[in-house]
Amino acid sequence: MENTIEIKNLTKSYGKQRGIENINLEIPKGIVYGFIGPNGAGKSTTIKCIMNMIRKNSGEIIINGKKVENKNYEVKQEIGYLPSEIHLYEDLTVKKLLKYSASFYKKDCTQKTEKLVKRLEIDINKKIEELSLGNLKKVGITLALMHNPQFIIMDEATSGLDPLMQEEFYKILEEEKAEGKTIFFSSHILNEVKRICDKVAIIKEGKIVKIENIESLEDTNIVKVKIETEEIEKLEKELEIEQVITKKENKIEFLYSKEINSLIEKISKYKISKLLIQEIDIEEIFIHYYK
Amino acid sequence: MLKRELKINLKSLIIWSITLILIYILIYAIYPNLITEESRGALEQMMNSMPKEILANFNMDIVGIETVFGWFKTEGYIFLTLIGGIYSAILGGTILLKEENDKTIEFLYSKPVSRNKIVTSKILCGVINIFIFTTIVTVINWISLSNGEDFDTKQFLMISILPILLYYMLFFIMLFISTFFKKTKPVMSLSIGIVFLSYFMQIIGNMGENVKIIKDISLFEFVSSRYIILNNAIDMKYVYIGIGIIALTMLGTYFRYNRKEFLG
Repeated sequence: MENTIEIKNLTKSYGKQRGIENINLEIPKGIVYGFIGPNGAGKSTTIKCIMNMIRKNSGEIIINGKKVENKNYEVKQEIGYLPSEIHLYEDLTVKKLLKYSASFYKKDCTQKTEKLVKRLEIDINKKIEELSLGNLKKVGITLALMHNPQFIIMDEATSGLDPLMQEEFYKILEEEKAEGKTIFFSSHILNEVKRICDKVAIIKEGKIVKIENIESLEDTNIVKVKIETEEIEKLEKELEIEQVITKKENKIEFLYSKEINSLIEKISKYKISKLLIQEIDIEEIFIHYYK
Repeated sequence: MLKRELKINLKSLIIWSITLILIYILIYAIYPNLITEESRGALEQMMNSMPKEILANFNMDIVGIETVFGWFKTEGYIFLTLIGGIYSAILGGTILLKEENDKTIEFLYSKPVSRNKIVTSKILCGVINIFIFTTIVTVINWISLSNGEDFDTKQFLMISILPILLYYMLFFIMLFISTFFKKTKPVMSLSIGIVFLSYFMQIIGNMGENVKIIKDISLFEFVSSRYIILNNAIDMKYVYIGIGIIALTMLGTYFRYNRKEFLG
């Protein structure tokens, strides 16, 4: 399959601060690619490198077969970018800002802009400085999509949107995907990644720790176990539990990724008052990778 | 982009032009009333008691200030260079950096636009604004002064137009310096600081032969009205060096800006 974007050995450090190290990503055309990790893991740094806002130390970024460099700014004709924090010219009205934004593109953006403004219920006569965070986000979404780009990059897209608007936004993204657009979707909210993404890269402390299809992420071999017993300490040692979620007096909750049979064999020796083994949701997979 | 840029900066252009024009008009209006036979004698007496070095700073050793045109060539010129200089320095220091300070660079640079184009449109806007500023002030001064008996058109034009060299030097120097910063606030202070430092270097340098070197590196010396008054010509040596400084800082700005990080 054709790749919209290829990132090869991308490294960026900020002196003492941690940056990103050896990031490798291949995003095939036409999919929604999730990019998850906690705050500060390097999501925005990666995205800023893609946008050429910051200079990479080494590595390569290729979008639609073209390297991202200062002189290759034309690739941005086909990129829609929604930054995590939106800062716009406060002196302008939404209407004027949208018009200014459209002036940079070679195509006519009017129709798409009107459609987005209507669906997201944006008051275009308001000044940017009067907008609430949620409304600013909606303008940001419009700016990212108005020129009908083939490649959409969204950094923490839904923060600040109310739940109804979030639904509308997911719908818009689904439609974009149906039109064959590629979407790179950075988030730290796992449920939304699970909902809209086809594939996901997990980033931790500046490194990609895992790249998975969403389905396989969901059926990885991890279960959540809850046990109530008087002999918690002993049990914990014997099972070699690594990832305790909670531990209270006689209750313990943990993630278990080894063979289930051996688990049952071992705990059968104990006096157990309650036992619960369940499939874990994506939130807990997340914890699994970050603990 | 340039259109939007010009629009944003129009307000400060108007404010700075009006400030300077008001100062001039106010003084032109009251000046003739101040100069009477009586006060003229007192003025002369006062001048004679002042050290020659001090008078030289205001050109008062070579120009009489009994007329408004005389005043324009002495104290008036200081207003022209100082106020226009501060305006140009602040404009240069903030015009490019403001996008990063306000984090709107993230919007602008998500568009298919090169960094060179961003710099070019900012430079064009600054150059146009400063040109308009100089033109407005020159026209108003012409209207106000040209009726005077001692008015000398050639001298007036040289004195009015030469400061644009200082303005552009300050604009480009500050533009270059701003590429080393992330926030506009320190650059604003620095802009004003550099203008005053440069001005006082010229004054101190006038105090004696052994400190003359300080004067020679002051930006204000590049646009010395003294040379014009004494020689009825512009010192082209300084114009060439000035253009050289402008070219260097302009190239430096493009170079630095292409390597800059937009952290946001």
